[in-house]
Amino acid sequence: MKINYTLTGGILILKPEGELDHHCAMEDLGRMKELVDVMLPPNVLLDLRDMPFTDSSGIAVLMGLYRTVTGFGSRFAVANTRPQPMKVFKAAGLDRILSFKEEVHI
Amino acid sequence: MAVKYTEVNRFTVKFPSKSANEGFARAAVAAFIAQLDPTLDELGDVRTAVSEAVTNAIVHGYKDAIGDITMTVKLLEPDTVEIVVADRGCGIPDISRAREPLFTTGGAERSGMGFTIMESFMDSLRIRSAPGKGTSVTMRKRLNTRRYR
Repeated sequence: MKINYTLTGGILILKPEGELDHHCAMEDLGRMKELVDVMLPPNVLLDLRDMPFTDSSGIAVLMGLYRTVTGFGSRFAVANTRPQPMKVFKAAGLDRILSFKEEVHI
Repeated sequence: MAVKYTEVNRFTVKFPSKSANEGFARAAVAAFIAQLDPTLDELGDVRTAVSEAVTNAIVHGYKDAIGDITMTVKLLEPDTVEIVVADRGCGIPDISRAREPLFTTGGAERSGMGFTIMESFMDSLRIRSAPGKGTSVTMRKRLNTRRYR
């Protein structure tokens, strides 16, 4: 996956692009954690508009990123999740743990 | 009443348990079942289940080795897709435990949701496994094909 990102007004927006599966998951999580670690933003928004597919690997990626971000005392939210990934996240109950925003225009 | 299934079409692929083949397996199944004209949601469900089954074979079946994974996809009448993913890896010692949500031997990288997702995204899931001999996972899903929509 390609990880696009922007930092504006204290919000780091991470925008992964492509399909997420076990093949790329840990590398992608590592790169996103590194961006958070370097920039230490007060807010991190994971914008999933360009991720049409994930399998259960995405569950571990979201939880890993959530733990890193909140571990720094920053806030974490997920936005623009497409239907297939949302179904996978809901199967694991992530909608009860993480903050999913319906539509965020950036 | 039990439905009687008749095979209409099938293909089999064999590939090494390299994680780069997860995407290939999903794409191959998607291309083949296009014949049944599935909805986007159905296609998403099937691709997800295939990804879980193939990832399991790679991560658990062959742990630190590379071995062959065989995937057979059948189109059955009435309007059903059947997918069999088989490895000759280490096998699962306790299948009912492995099927439990959140159970994993894969550590923090894995969510333990693989079988749960296969089960809920497909209509049926059958697992056969023997320690030291391998595992085969058979999944079926009835597709709401456009012919009847």
